[in-house]
Amino acid sequence: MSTTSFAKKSSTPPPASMGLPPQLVLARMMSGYAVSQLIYVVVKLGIPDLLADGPLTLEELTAGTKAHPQSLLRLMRGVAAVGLFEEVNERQFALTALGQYLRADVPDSLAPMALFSQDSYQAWGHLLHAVETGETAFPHVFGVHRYQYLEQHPDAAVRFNAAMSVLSSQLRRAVVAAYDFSRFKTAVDVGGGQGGLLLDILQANSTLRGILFDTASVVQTITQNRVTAGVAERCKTIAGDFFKAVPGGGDVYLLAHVIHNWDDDQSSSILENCAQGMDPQGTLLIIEMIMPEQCGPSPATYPLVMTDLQMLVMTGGRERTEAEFRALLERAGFELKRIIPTQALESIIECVRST
Amino acid sequence: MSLTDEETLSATKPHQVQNADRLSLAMTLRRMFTGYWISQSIYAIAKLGVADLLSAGPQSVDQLARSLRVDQGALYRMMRTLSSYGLFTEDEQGLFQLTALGSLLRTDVPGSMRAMAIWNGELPYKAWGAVLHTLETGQPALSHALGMKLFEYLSQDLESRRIFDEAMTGLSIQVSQAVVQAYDFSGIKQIVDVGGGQGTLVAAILEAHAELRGILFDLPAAVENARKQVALERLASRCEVVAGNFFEHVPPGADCYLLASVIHDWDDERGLRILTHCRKAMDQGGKLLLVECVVADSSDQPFSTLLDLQMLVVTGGRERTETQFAELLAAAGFRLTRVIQTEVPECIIEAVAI
Repeated sequence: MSTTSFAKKSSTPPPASMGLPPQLVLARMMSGYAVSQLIYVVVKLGIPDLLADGPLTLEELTAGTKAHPQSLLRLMRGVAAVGLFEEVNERQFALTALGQYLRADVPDSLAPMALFSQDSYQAWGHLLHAVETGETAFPHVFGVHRYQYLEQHPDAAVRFNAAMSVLSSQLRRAVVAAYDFSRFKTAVDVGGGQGGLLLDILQANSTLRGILFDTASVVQTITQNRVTAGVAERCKTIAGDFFKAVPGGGDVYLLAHVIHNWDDDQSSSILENCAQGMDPQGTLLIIEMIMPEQCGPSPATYPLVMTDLQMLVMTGGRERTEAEFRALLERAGFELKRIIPTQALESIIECVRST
Repeated sequence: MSLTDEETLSATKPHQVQNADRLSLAMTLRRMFTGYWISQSIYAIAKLGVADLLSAGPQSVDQLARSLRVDQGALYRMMRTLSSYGLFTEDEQGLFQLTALGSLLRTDVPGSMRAMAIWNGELPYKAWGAVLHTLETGQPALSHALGMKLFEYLSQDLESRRIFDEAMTGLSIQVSQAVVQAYDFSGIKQIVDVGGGQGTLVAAILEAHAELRGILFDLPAAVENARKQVALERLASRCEVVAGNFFEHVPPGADCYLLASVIHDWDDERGLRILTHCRKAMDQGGKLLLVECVVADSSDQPFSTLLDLQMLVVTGGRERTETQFAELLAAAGFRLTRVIQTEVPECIIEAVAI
């Protein structure tokens, strides 16, 4: 199956196993970890950046990475076999179209996502523990909740923020295109991270003001490189803890990729604090993927079901069905008004205070 | 230890991606980045034995969770995920059923891949977590992660040894059939399978040739498991099981010696020592058959290239080209006579003692 045919059929995706013997399908799933780590290590060694200006020989790559030459050759050939590099001459390698995405300096670079496995690979090695006990694997391995860990390990936090920014770039465009913010005066992005989504919304809505709200350690790391004319002065940043309180004064509140990180009790507490903070007539927008009631065998569901397991392993949260969202919202004093699909995998769940 | 991602591979050949849109390229990469998520999901299901429980018919997650004594909610999320990947189907009553794909994880089916799934999810998974170490030092990451080499570790951890043997047996069933079809053993009187593990290959050859006698030779921990194999019990009158270490000696006097997927576990120095012990055990003109993947001198061979990396990271061994095999064999006193491709990726490399 070529990428082209996959893209064409993406509206009704075929089962991944189509046309391949089941032994082969299972073997490639079983050994997916080796491919992940192969890509992780070439990005970690900075090889895609070294190849940015053209093909390099093994000697040049060895000099640039300080890696063990014979092992590096075998690595380069392995990565070529999965289609990211090409051996253009014997022991001389170039990036393919796919490999270009791993350069740090290209727009929409996916390099941060490749490096992310450094933080989650070990926790995933304990998925079995999570299934046996229902406990989150990450704290079982590292002793603290994922977000505490990120506060204690600034390097990991930098990697996490970079990977999340990659994920959210497509989502930001989709949300701005799918929802009309023009009737609002002040948007509060609760757990807004680096502020990417809020700044995009402000840019598209010239009279809207914004409040970016996240923990002190996240707010400290916000880089001011996205200050666009007419936007920064309409946006202020507030540090705090959404389990305690959420800033008041907004007429629209955003929770993008927040609720899925938490269990029902924790989520309910975040939602109740939003209800406390917002105008009684205010609108709450939850931006999340929505899990279908039943998942057929289809690649279209992979991001949903896999992100759900990522939450089981890493944070203790979950992806929810529409019914689960309705129950959660009702419990916290909200009414689900409508669900607006976007061009991304996520939907916008529009809610108001229950009367 | 297959790790070919056929779909990904075919989807990402450079000449095919030129016309593809950026989004599907990014999707392809993301699936590669998160390959370890699905590997570990399959590992957990295999280790728990879910497919065996479902072999008698569909069950609810509630029933499964009670039999397995695991968390029902978490198990449901796993089952839902693997249904999406085609291992199970879920009906309207919430009963899960095995598909052809999921059935491969049953213990009792021919060509079961359950042991391979468990094997991959434990030591090799751990080793690949330390892959940077291999790139920095050239040493297997597994030794770094465990503090000792794989086979040393397996001699101490008997549960891992058992899983390794079962996983390799699953693989060698396919390879054995291919070897029996591809090679004419007539005229040979006695065959020694050096490092023969569970004896799958020697048993298949003896089954096909009623006059032939055999010796299965491997480490004590391996042959102890092998003695329990039904196929070997049936052939007991023609097949001897001998425990020993091929770095010290190999049983002498046979006219044919087999080394199937053995040499690729070792670097050249240790590979040469094994071959030299075989040569010492043999008379001039005796035959040596290696069953191994043979790497072409280019990157365009995903299976053997990736298997080579598995050797680099896990065992410290390597996959070799025909030239490399010929040189290694010559150094031990053999002449490579021919390379026979079987219907599986492995070849038979025939050599004669000179």
